[in-house]
Amino acid sequence: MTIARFIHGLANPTRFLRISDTVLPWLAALTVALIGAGLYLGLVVAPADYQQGDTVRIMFVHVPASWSAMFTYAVMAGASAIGLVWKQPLADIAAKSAAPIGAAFTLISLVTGSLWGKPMWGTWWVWDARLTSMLILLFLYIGYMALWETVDDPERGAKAAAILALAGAVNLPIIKFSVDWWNTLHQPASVARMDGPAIHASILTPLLIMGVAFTTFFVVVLLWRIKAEVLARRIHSLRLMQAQGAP
Amino acid sequence: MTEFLSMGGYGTYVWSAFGVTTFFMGWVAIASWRAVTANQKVLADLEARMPRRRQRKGADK
Repeated sequence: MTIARFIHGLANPTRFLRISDTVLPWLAALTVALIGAGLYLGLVVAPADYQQGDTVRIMFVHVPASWSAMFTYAVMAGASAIGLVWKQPLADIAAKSAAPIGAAFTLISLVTGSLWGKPMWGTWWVWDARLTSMLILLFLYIGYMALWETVDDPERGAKAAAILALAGAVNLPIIKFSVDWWNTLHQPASVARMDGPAIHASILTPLLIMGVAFTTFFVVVLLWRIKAEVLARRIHSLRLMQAQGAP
Repeated sequence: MTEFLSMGGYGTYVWSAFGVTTFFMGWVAIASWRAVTANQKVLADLEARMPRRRQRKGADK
């Protein structure tokens, strides 16, 4: 039962915060460096596309945001499953903390996609399968966050939210394969393909750097949010003790 | 510089996209960091007002 033991080891909030406090400054510095490098390569070095012109640069934020929106949901669903099966409060906290970051990524993906669609497709929005399934992802994040807010008891709230997160995970393969299953205006995959990426290195390199940057950004903000939530629960229990007059 | 900012005529779209990204990522990052510092402060104040709990800390290990 090594997985169970690993999760159990991480589940101690004090130990978790100690580990995350040592990792955080490095990860934050790495994120800043990666974003700097990605922006420089993407905005200055990379050439304009022969068809898309300079709008291709929107891809350097649109694609990483979309990847991260899905990755974040996968993390949220995974943490929810761990919380449900092993009853680890820290896993519930991680899932809860991931949601607003994922919602931000999804919003960025939708808005930047729109800003690319207007000059290139001639429309801000179409109800094609890719765009619609991304909009559903946004609603899943919003519903998930709302569910945490509406249920007072954190244990019951965690359970209800975890079930919603797991049910909504069906949407992830739908987003990924929407461009293959349906006839979409959105173009098919050009990086994660069986025969390798179909993009020139001058565009692919900044894209991948930004992809890693968004991922480390996610981890940094996630660790901050988990820390804030652990502290909030300590505050809550201290206040309860005070109210009960216990030492 | 003007050429760089115009982005081949697509400046409005390109810079709006980067602006929106900065706004939402900045928002979620700053809000999360503020929650950490605010809670740290509240917790420190609470613990300072509970001296007996502090003394016990070493005892129950």
